[in-house]
Amino acid sequence: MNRAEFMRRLTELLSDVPPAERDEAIQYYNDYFDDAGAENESGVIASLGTPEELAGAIKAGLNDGGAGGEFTETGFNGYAQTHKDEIMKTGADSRQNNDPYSQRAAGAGGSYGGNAQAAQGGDARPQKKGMSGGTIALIVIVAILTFPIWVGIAGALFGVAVAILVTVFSLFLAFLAVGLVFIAVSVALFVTGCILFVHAPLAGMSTVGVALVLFGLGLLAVWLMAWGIVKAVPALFRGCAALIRKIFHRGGAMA
Amino acid sequence: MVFNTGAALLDAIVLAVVSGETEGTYGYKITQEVRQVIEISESTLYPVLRRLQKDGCLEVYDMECAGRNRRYYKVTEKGRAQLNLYISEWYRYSAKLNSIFEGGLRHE
Repeated sequence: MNRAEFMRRLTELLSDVPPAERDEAIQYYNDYFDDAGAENESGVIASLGTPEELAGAIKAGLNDGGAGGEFTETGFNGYAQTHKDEIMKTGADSRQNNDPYSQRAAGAGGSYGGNAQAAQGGDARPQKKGMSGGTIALIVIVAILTFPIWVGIAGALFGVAVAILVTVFSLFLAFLAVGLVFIAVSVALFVTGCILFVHAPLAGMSTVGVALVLFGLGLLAVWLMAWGIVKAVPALFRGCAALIRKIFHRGGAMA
Repeated sequence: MVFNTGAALLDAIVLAVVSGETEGTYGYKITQEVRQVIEISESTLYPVLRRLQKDGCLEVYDMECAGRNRRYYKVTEKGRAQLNLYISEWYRYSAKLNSIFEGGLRHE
């Protein structure tokens, strides 16, 4: 296999990596061959390994940090990346604190105790990054095992919510009906009062008065219900929607 | 080689090699210099250089050389801080190892 064949095969093997990364790697190895010189071509090919191995190393490098692993003199090792990241992070800190190592060494007297503290701090940090696979699995198992319980609770809550809604709606309807009846009765009483007025003015007047009072009450009830339907019902629905969203969001955060 | 070179130490060696050239240096030369001190396969260094570049420890630029563009690597400010950290950490670490080894020899 010569250089051209090697690079062609490598390009093929890298067809599934992002174009920018592929171009970068191809340029690097083209440069590498150029700099090694034509006389070292076969030596370089021999020491780079097969194109498959090289493509594997490049792809593993792309996942580096995400999947965890490191490059050492023996190539790619499946080894927790966190140690290096810790040093990188400490490096970021050092630019703010000037020199955490001198501080730490001064505090701990450069003893092994100081070192152990540093190591503990380093171990504790990655755990905060997110839940481990075990924790997630545990939550899923608990959720499945308690399925009958939380389905029952959810059903009960749903039932209560529907009952409340129906009750409120019935009350609305009842008030509306009462209001309409009041108005109807008041109209009838008004007419009756007017007729009575001819024969017995006092009784007629009081009947008309009662009719007007009833009319007012009826109007008030109808107006209240109309206002309630226009204002309160949408507010109620908004409230319910917000509540449901809150519950689902909390559920999402837990999963 | 008897001892492994971990990722942090390899990063430190690469940063040190690159920082030795103020104008920057290129992949083949870096590989040859690193190979003078540790046994390393030629395919190992590209991912390391790429990662250091993504981490902001190295920057790259292309320069015309013998009728073609060659990619050069140069240590950034962040890379220099990182290297200083590695070096001070290495001195601490190696000093402790030395004291253990020398103490061990005395007890024999």
